Amino acid sequence: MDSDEEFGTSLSPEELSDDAIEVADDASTPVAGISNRTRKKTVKKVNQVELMGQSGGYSWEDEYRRSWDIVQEDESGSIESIVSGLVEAHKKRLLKNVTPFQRGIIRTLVLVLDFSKVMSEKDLRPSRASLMLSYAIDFINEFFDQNPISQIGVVIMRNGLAQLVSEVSGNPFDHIEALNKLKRVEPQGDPSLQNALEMSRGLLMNTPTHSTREVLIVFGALFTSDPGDIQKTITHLQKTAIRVRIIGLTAHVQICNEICEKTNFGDSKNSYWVILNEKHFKELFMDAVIPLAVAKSTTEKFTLVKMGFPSRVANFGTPTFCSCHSKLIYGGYICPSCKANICLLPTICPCCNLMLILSTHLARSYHHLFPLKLFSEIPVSKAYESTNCFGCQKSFPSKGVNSELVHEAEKHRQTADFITSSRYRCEDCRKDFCIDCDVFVHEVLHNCPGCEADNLRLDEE
Amino acid sequence: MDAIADRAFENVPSGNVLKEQDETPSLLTVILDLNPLQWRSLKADITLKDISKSLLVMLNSHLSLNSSNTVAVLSSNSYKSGAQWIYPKPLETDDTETAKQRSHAHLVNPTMYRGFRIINDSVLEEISSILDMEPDRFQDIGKRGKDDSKGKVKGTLVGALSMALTYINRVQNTNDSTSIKSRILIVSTSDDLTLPYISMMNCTFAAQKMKVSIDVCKLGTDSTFLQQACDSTNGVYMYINHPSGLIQYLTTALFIDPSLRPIMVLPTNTNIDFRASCFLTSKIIDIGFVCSVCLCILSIVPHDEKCPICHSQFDPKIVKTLKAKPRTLPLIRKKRKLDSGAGASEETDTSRAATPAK
Repeated sequence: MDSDEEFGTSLSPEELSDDAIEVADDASTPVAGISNRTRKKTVKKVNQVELMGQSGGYSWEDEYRRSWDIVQEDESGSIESIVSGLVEAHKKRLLKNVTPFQRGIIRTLVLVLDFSKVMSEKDLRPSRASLMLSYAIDFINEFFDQNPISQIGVVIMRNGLAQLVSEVSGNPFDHIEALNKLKRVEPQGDPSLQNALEMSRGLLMNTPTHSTREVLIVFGALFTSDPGDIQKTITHLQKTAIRVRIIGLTAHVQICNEICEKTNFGDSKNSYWVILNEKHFKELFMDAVIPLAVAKSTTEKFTLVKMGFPSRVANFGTPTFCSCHSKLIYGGYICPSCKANICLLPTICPCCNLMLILSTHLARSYHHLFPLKLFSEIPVSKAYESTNCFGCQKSFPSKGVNSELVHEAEKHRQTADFITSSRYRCEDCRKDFCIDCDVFVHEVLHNCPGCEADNLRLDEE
Repeated sequence: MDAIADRAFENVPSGNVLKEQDETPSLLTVILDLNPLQWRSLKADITLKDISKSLLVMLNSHLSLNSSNTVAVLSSNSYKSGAQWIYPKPLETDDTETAKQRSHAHLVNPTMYRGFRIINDSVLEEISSILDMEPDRFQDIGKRGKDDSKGKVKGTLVGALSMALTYINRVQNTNDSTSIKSRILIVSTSDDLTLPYISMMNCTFAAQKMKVSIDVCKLGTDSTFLQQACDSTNGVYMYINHPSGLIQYLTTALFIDPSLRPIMVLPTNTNIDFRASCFLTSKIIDIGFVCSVCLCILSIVPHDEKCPICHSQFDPKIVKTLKAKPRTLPLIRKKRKLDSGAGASEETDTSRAATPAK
């Protein structure tokens, strides 16, 4: 790619447009004290309700709640039930909304990583850049695990330029190798959102219509130094239906918000986040693994994609060169249309351009399309029907909760949230599960053991 | 992504494989297909009694390999309750306790080593109690099914597999002090028709993610889905040709510890059919069309240019290009003309032919 030069040469302080400077000013000042202008903007933008604490004021005006006040003994003097409730409440957060959407399953994503000077800061351990890289590697593994027929490219922002680290391809090993090499690269200079976005646009330009075009930016700086008018870039992005999502590492930046809002049809809430801590950073990264819901405006582009299902040959007897990497291999997959020998799937046949996949790759994405219904929590009561988790056979806390205790707990709003029945029920098969199974079933398995184990339910399929 | 990622399993550090394998305990989960009709069709070759004997020998030998080894047994495809736990059972009330004591007398020799006896006892007892219920349940279902579905029942192997995976998940997460290896053995007699494809694949991927191998001991008809499941989890798929020698299969080929698998030649089938079948015509196809919305596989472009599964309208332009016949170059005719006309020099002739006609 030669776009480095393209954008790089034009970059000099004199040529920075007013816009870019304004953005830079805007964002870099709040470290010392929020300037009036920025403050007005943020207060307007951020939803008032989010800032409200329990007493109706801002959350920082609330009285400090001591975490140990939540823990209260039950009548037998044991704190076991409330502690397990606390543990469960923590796990419950993992469960996400699963309303079925039409999702763009075949994706093309450009991952843009900030490699400017701010990334060498050590507020995230060991440093912003190295944490970002290790999460990015996890992300790529997870991404290809869940979206096997999608493609990724990696770009970094460094020295005011956008540099292509790894070409758009469907092979996770190439990307991971490239990212591992980046570990030895020192973060330097300023980031430029415009350059990065323009380069991503170039990379995504030739993707077929059935594929989504996405950009995921990890942005550590509070400013961007751009060679031209970033607003023009945004309109270009809008025209080419590229959706940009940004994970901010420091603070909310107005220009990021604007980019996300404009490229996601006015929905910046689900596309621009700022991390709270390391764990949150990882969660945000992993959220991007799930395919985006298809936006309404793009619904006319449904297509059929021609794909080949090659058969595997275990051993030809003699090793042969594969047509994709020119490596010597014993077995391989044979492209059904041109009979080329391929070593790694899924891929696009280098000879005839046919997309080659295994039927199992398609099956991997099915759970995005047919998500499992969420289980509902059984309300607290004195006695329960079930004694064991249907899945893992773990025994439930058998003792029903005394109504007095619930009453008592209701006084302290916090405590009441943590008294649970520990039972989660599938509404279809009426079987109860423990919280661990609930999380496991929804995150990993995507099947309800109860529904599958019931031999009389024929209505599905 | 090589063959759905064998790499996850191949990346075992080769140096210390031998050192570590003996130390970590392992959990063997067996899923036994108990469908009475299937067992009846196999009557000439093997009976359920034979297989339970062989299975118990296998379970006991697994337990004797390491003092912290554990086993779990589930049943599937029975008429009584679909998929069900056989061992370990949840704690039960008093009357079943007495029933257990009763059965002790005649099922297992009381002088047997206690660790084996407890398991053998409860497995045999559960299986027999399930079998006792079968005729009644079968009749019930038969009656019920007259109106709707001819007494057909859904296969519940996937249910048992899901339950096994949740159990393994729990065991792996609670025993954080000592990591435990797990594998699953499926003794299957039913055919593919009883397996729901999507949920089966979900189980396979979950097992792959958890690095749990799925081994299959297949009686009756061959199963492609189970072959795929074994292949992607680095398991062993064995089609039992001589059911009378089952114990041999179970204690050799199906007994290989997962940690030894990278250095053993597995007796498994490597030519697995990964081709897909068309959702409309159910023809097995090499090249097909995939709906970009719901990923259903089609061998032909549907007439109404709508996806038969998700009913989304396809873009007519793209359908047109897909339907178009391959363009051939009017090469031969041109050549003949040139040849028959003035004897143009051969060089210019070939260069003209190479450029595609517009």
